[in-house]
Amino acid sequence: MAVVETTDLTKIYQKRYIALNALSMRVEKGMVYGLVGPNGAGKSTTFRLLLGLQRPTAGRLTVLGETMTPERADLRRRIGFLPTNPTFPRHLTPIGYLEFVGSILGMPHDLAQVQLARLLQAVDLTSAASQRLEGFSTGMLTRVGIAAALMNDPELLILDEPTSGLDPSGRKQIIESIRQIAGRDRTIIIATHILGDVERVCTDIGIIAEGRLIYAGPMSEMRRLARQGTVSLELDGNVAAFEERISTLDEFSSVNWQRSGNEFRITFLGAHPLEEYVQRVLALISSTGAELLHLDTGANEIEDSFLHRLEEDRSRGIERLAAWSATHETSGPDADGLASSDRGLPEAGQRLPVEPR
Amino acid sequence: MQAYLAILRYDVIQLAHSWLLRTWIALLVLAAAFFVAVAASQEEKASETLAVYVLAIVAPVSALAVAIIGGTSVSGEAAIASDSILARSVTRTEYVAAKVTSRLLIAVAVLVAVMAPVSHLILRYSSESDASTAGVIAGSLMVTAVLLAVLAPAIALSTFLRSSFFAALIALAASAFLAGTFYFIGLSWLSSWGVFSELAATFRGETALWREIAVIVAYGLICVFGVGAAFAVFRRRDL
Repeated sequence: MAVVETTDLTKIYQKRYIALNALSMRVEKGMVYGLVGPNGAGKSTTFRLLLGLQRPTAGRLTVLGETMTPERADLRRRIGFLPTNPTFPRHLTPIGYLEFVGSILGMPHDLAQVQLARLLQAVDLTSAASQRLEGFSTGMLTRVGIAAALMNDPELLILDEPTSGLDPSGRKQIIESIRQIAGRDRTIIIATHILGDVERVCTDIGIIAEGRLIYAGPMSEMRRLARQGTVSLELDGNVAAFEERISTLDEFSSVNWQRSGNEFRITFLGAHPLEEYVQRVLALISSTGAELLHLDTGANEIEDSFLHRLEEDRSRGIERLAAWSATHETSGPDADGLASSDRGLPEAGQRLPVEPR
Repeated sequence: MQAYLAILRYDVIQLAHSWLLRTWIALLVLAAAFFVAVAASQEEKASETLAVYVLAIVAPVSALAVAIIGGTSVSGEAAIASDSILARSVTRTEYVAAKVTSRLLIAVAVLVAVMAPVSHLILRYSSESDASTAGVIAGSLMVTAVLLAVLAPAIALSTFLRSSFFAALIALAASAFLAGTFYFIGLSWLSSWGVFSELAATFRGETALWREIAVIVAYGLICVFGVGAAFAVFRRRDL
């Protein structure tokens, strides 16, 4: 079952700025879906549309199987939302704020008290429960926001940049909290531009750029694609000889490489297993008399893969338009009742047609 | 309905603890003490003392206060509204209804809480108690209607202007413009200035009933229009 499904979702602000450009996305029940993209890609706009805080300019949008509008308070009761750097009534305490959220949600007073006590303990704020929110750090406010988002035990949890502005220990704490929440039968969508966070908690990933979803698929597939054929090295000794002979690796498989000081980054463009590439590189080091200080096949892999896809998408503008037109000609108008895959919509676990690195 | 009541309660508590409300009440009460003392010690008529109090203190101070209360109603907490309230199970109608109710309640409560005892004391202690109870009630209702006709448009403006300051300022300017319009079309008695300058006569019960009703209905309609605009605009707005 699709918990969230958008088809050609478009948002244009005041006929000046295109925030979402025919975004088609599908999130299945139970997924922890990472929506990743640079600043201004359209992540927060997507969430505001999902919550009915804004109306789409065009396209279709269903949440938990129903169309979301600003007046669908009943649908929002089934959703929890954590905004970026959440703003709370500063004079309230966490208990006061969660009581307020509980009363908005129509929770009986006793139930709200039990729930807020449980949640404050879960997000490790019991000791700060009597302090006013105005004195809280960003991390503490984020944890209050997570508790508030969970007050109604939502079926769908939407987290917008949950680790934004946090120090490493704060980030770790929030990520741990999300992991624990994700352990239940609940769908979570996390927007972020910190790829490490996505890698730690998400089962699926969607990459959004300039208001379009340019990649969607399981996290494991993203990792596999990212690892394919990239070896990073740090050398000492006869580095010049290694650089001179690096092109000989082309005989095995065509390569791209970059040097930065004594560090090399070699990308093989073939389809051999990674181990074979590593063996070739080690043999070359040995034969040139260079000394290996460090070798890595995974550092920044997701970041690199993400940037690669952004770059690829930028270079495919017209091609993309043609593909979109072809899809719509094939599938006909939206009201035809076709499955999302027939309209070119990325299904759960379906990778968009982008070339592997 | 529960969301409406929760937001209403939250907003009334917020307003009750605000410095704006405390300052507003303090100014009205301090000035009232002065006017009661004047009424008791000088050879002044009750109707004129009360009218001067309203014209010099209640009208300008309260107009400014209600313009700010209205102007800050939605735009003053835009981030909290979208992050903490409207992203949850609250409709926009419930949110605006709660905001309008709380602001109207507070404004009416302050005016009643100040005007009732002040009128009583001035009538009691002035050397010449020429005002009638019916006249004082009618005059107070007219003043309240004029002030609510500033408050409601300020709320409407705050639903689409990002700046609370401009919402309050425009509401005050619109009120002044309306007074000028009434004056130029020959209905000066219907303008806010006309209402305030004739208050002494109204307190004495000398103003025609139809004029009193016309003032209350006219400013009541402006208030209703402002509230309606607030609902209509906010329902369509992107947050």
